[in-house]
Amino acid sequence: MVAASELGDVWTRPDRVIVGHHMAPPSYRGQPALLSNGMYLNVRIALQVIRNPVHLVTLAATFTYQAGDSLDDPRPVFEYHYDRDSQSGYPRCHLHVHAEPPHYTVERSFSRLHLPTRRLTLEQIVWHLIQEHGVQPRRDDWHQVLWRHETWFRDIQRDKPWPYDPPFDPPRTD
Amino acid sequence: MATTVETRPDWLPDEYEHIELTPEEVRQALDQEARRLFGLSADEFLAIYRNPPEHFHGDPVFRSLTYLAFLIAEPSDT
Repeated sequence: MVAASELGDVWTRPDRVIVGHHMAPPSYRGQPALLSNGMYLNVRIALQVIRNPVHLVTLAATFTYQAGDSLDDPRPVFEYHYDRDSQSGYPRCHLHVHAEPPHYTVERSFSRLHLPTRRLTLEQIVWHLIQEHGVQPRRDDWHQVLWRHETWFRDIQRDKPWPYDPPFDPPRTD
Repeated sequence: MATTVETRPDWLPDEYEHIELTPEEVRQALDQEARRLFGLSADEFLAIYRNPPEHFHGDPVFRSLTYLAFLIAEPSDT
């Protein structure tokens, strides 16, 4: 959905890297990617390089489904946050839904709530957008690709504190 | 085998853009954007970004700046 050729990263320290879409100067905040349904997806992932053995740890991830392409006025619909070392007291994995249900009468703005989730992957968000938001995949083998990457993530998370299962069925082989 | 900046992997598309910044350059970009958007210096933003005031929760613009902070935050912050 997001062409790899449009992706990039910003690297410093030299053990930190942020990956996103068009991470260009001067702000390096990335640009949302236009989807086939006219909406946008903005993806940012902060990684840290760990040595011995060499691997990457995700420090934070943000997947924003939004109506606007402006960084300063993105008009978000929903936004997934993962904060590995959050100090806010809220769930490390959570969803902000930018809606105001009329029957929700608590004074706090609904969009500021941290709706708890398990660890979500970009593959799950892409799956959801294709299945329920009318986004057209760019490649015919999108199901196989999503499943392959989803199960890779599941496999490396097997011994992590949060049990993990892919949330959708494997692709048919026929 | 580990991949380094010097050994760009073959599978990475040629168009994939890799930008390497010094911490000073990141701080300068953070300071400029934090002042423009929130009236905060880079130091002020770094002091609050992991546990921001209530009105910043769920704010995608505030969130977008936290990624610059991740690049230069001290290890004890992470």
